[in-house]
Amino acid sequence: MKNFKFTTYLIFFVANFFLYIFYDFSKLHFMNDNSLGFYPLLGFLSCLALIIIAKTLSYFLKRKDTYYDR
Amino acid sequence: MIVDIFLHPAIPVFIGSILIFFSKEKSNLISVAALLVSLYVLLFFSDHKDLIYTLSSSNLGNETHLSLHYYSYSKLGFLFCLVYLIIGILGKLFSMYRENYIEKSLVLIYIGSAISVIFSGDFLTFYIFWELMAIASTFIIWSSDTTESHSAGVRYLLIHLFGGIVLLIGIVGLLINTQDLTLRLLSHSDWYNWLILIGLLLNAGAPPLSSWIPDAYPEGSYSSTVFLSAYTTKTAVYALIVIFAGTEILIYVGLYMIFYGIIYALLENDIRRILAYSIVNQVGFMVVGIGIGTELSLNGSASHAFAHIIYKGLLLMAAGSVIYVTQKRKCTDVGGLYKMMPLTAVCAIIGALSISAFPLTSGFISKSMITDASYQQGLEFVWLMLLVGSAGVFLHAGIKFPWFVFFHKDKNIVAEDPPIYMRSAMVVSAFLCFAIGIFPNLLYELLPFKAAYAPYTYNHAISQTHLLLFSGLAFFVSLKYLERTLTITLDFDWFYRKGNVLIKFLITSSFCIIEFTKNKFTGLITYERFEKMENYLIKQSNISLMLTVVVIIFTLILIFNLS
Repeated sequence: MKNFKFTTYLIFFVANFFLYIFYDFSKLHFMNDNSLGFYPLLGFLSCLALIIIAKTLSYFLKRKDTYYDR
Repeated sequence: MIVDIFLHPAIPVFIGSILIFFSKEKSNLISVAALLVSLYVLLFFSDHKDLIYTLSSSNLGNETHLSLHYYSYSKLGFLFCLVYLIIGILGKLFSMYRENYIEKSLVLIYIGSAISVIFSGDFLTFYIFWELMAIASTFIIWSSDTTESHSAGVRYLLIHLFGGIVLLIGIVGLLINTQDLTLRLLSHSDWYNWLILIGLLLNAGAPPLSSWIPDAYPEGSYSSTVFLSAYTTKTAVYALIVIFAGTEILIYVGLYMIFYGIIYALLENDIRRILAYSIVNQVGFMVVGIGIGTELSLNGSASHAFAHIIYKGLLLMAAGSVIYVTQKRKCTDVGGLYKMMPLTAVCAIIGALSISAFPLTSGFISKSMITDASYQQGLEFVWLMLLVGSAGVFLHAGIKFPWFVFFHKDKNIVAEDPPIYMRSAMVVSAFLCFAIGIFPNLLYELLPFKAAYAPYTYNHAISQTHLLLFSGLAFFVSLKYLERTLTITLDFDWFYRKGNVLIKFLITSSFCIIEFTKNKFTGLITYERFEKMENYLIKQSNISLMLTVVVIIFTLILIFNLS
């Protein structure tokens, strides 16, 4: 199972890396977005941040699903 | 002239809604036929001249005229009407097995009023059909006939009546100050413009009252949620494009909606509530586009509304199929359904890919117009937030919904794909998601403004794929923190659902003060008197409380502004 997980992650990273073959690094929007790994890192880190924010808020806002029935 | 009236695309739909009562057994046939006739009228007769009625009144020799633009054709209106009819037909196909002819008639009234709103050329006609839409949709929620739907429908109606009052006061202010009710771009920051903006934003699901969408829509029947998701919020988007394009505050309102939708959807357990939160999220993208206000961004908002109606319809059809077959509506109760419902799972995944804006799907060719418009305007922060928002969409609707429903832990539920009409509605919707994504010009040719845009460049497709795939990686890495629990998340609706707690607190605290002063004024104030008052106030329902507050606030506004 561990090997399977490792292989899946390896294929995932290699496949994503190979997409860069077609990428034109000379085109820039903002914030060095033409640099290697900008979009993968943005996607990964922003989603982790969103999950952390959601989890933190859940400590204050979560109630049992019968909350409004009472 | 009489013939012209019947050349309005809403008329066949309204006639269909009446005919259903005369032939209840044929309600499905009548519904589909009415929508097809409406589509025919739209495609072949829609650009006939505007229908204008002039109301005249004479007061002390001064004659005043009020022109009502009952039908006013625009390219934007055509685009919205087309997608309304497409999802109307697909939704009717999906709801073939729903045996409630009243709901079917109400849905036609709802669609007809939404079409009338987008083809209205003045604020009065606009307002009348806007309210009709709110009333029809409330009855659609109630026709689900559950305890939850009854109370959710009341809350939904109250919120929309509140929005309607705000809008009406704004329109009255506009009439008094400008003597012109033509539906047009309003740019000055007068008080009545603000009230019109608030009234429209409330229907779009803007803060702080965004919670009416996840509160009300999931309480509709398995099929009616498809219709509910399509019309009210998107009609508000249409109105915002026409009336408030380029209003800067909308950028920030839209950004709030994007992240509100993501965070609440991540915490949600109910399948359809996840998708309801994602409506707020997606409308947020459209509102940002309207706020940017360039031709490209407005085209982006319009095309995103078009694409969104179809893929959200598809996602809600998939969710509706699961509820129809399993009678379960919570992520904690389902799982592993892909083995039993393979076609539904595939359609849900296609819808999920579209909402996440994967290349080759409809979301990709529409959402990226808004992102690129922010880049062209030099709005660096907005551009970055839109990218983060796009990643978040994949997190909550792109992966979370299909993963927890169709994969994850197998709950060994006995199920099968829904019957043929429901399956075919999903397949056609899924086909449309791909067709628009692969041939974007099909949609671009219908857009209201001429703004050249090429979505398929290597850089764009690759960067979007990277962004989404790595947000998917973040989901699986933190999967154990996203496990579903039998919980709800408190929202702004707490104030009008549990408001009596606040009243109780206020009364108790004021009682303490009274208790303190009682000793000095014994004989004047008695404990029993206040106990009676306290009990009386607590017994009052939240509804009457809210109505009282609304009436007081607007009486004050009227007194101060109109006198």
